[in-house]
Amino acid sequence: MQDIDPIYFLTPVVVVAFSLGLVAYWRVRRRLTMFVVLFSLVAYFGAICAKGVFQFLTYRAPFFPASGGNAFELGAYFGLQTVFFEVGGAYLVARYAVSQGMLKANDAEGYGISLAMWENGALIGGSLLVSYAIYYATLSAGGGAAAEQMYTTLIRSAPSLFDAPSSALPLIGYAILERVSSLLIHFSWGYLCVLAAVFKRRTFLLFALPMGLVDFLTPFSGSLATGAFEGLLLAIGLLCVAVTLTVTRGKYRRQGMLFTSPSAEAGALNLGPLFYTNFRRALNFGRIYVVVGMFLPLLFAVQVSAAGGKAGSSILGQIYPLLLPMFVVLGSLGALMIFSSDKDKGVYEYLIAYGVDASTIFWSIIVATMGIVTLVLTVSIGVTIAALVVTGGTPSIGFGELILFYTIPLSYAATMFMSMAGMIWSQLTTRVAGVNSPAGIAPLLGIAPVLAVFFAATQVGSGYLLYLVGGVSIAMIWAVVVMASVANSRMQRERFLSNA
Amino acid sequence: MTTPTPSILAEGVVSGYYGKKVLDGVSFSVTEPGVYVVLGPNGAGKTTLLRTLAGILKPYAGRVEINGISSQAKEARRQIDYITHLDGIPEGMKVEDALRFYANVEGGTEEDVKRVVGLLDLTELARMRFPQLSQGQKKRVSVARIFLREKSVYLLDEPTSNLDPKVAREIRELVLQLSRDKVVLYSSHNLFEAREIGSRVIAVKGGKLALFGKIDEIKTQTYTVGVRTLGPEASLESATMEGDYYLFELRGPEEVPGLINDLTGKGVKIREVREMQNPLEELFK
Repeated sequence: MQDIDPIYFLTPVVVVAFSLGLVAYWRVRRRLTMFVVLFSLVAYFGAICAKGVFQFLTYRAPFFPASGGNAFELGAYFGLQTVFFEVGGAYLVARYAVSQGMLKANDAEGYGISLAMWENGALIGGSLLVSYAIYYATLSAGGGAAAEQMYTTLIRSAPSLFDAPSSALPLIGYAILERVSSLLIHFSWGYLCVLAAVFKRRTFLLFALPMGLVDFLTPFSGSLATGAFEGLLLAIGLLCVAVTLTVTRGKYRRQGMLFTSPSAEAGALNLGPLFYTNFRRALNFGRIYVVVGMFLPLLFAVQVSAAGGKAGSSILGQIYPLLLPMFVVLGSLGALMIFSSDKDKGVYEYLIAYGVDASTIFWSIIVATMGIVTLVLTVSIGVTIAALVVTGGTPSIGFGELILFYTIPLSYAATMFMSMAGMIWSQLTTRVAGVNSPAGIAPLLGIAPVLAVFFAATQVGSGYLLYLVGGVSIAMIWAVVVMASVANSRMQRERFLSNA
Repeated sequence: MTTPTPSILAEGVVSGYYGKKVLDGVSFSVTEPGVYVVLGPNGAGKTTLLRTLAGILKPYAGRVEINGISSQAKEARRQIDYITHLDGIPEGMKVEDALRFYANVEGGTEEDVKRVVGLLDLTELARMRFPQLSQGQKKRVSVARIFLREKSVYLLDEPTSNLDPKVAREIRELVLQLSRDKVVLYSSHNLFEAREIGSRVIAVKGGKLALFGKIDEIKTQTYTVGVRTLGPEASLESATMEGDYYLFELRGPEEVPGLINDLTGKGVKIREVREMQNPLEELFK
């Protein structure tokens, strides 16, 4: 029994990849909020459900002429459904989202891209991928009744699936091209619907609605040559984009020469970039500390393991988890350094002027610190375990317990405490070179609790280690929360102004 | 008929740093769009006034409202853009990354960043890191930030300091464009720049409001420039001298190029031309 060629997977894989890729690109580099993705999901699948119900009720109805097979009537039947349910639905959802303040003019592109993603990446590409996987798995197993039945069905309904790869490639190309056209059309009507809702311009909606008539062509796909049909669809897609950009350009001009986006006044602050950028910069800023924090323990691990074999592994197993939090403290200094630098450069003055509050600034630094701690711990512990195994040692249960109940909790708690206390210290002290720098005092604040726990544990016995670590960690995290809360409510904003 | 809500309302504002008063009982309101030049000598309280209006400093007494909302509320701060003498560019970032950072925090898009890069002619600088830029280039990038998102009130603290005359003029033109339908407070210590850009003035002296009115109400002062030559110039014997400088009284900086042309036409070898006296010093005597 013949199986389908794996080359057919190209269509759904490429379609899903470019649909999701565009969404990811818009999310990272342009603007695409989760609200936009969710509203487009409601708009698209709401429309698909509504179309399904409508067709179930009408398609076989005796009064309905389209069921008689007239291609023009059938085309109008499909086209008008898309106009009312998909485009009209996209507008209604956009209007609701705008009224709730969750959709703005600069979300228009994202809304269009997301609508296209649900159609191409999820409904068509996704379902095709699953179907092909089932066909392939069933037919390749061969022999059984299920495989026979599937083969018979497919050879009747989709015989081209069994074509040789050479004749399959053009079909795959056309199928992908059709999805590109669909992307252009969905983008256009989604974009227009958002601007129509935001600016209360019916003209935009009147341009968007006829774009749904593209589905009028559905019944003609068999009667036209494939190349001509797909070429026509692509031309329609390009026309839709051209019309969209032309009719909306006038609106932007009306907004003024200097600004194309609507006023920022009504929009909420987007604090994600603050957190993400701080993490990235903290890594870059304190890269030497990160290297020290990450690679010194690694060198230590490899050296001890190589020198002592099993005995070395044993020594390593006892000492390494106790030392690691101190290196983690060093590795995470970058975040505190950017706090100090940003304050001096006036970055916080501008952020406060934008409406960012003090606690957000503090937490953005703490989150960046936590990110680096996670990175240093993951790499350091991972490579150390690998070094142990390679040199013939086996990570013992005691080693695992120390890592889990000492190294990890103390690393996080001590660095959080160090960051917060370092920032408060920097804010409250007057400028004296080297003394009020949080990066100067921070290692002391971070390493002291770790050492205190270490020595206390030797006094009270290892049986109490868990309680000791737990108690100290909770106390430090509690101190961080209290400091952040008090600083937000009581600290004067001039503390965030540069001393320069 | 209802009175329109002022874009900026300051009423008996007392403000400063760490409990020390810098502004003392400043009151004014601004309703119409336009450029309002905040003038004052060094230490008069111009920057403190702008920081208080921007909601960065909390007044010790009095109230500040932006479009009817207390300046301390986030909603008010979202309606303001603001620049100080500090560039505010996070260290280690490339120019376009820094602009992207601020645009993203304010809910802007990549399109906003590209537009601003074009508007301020930053294309060549976009991929450079901030420490690689000259002081003037840094200022240009800092000013670019205010054009990322549209606001209704702009508080600009000496936005053209450190800029060469050509770029300064371009920025003043952009500010004038902004002021067509927005309120712009523009601090300066240069009366002639103030005359070029604004029609109304908020003059601050010793933390108090010295004048709030039309800029024409400020009596015109003479503008004195000093010309230093490579050696003694016989043709300038009749001119008054102060140190190494021959003094010339002009009506304003716009007459400086004419003076230079005249002097070089007479064969004078010019080494330096400088402003000898700040008209504001006279104004605030």
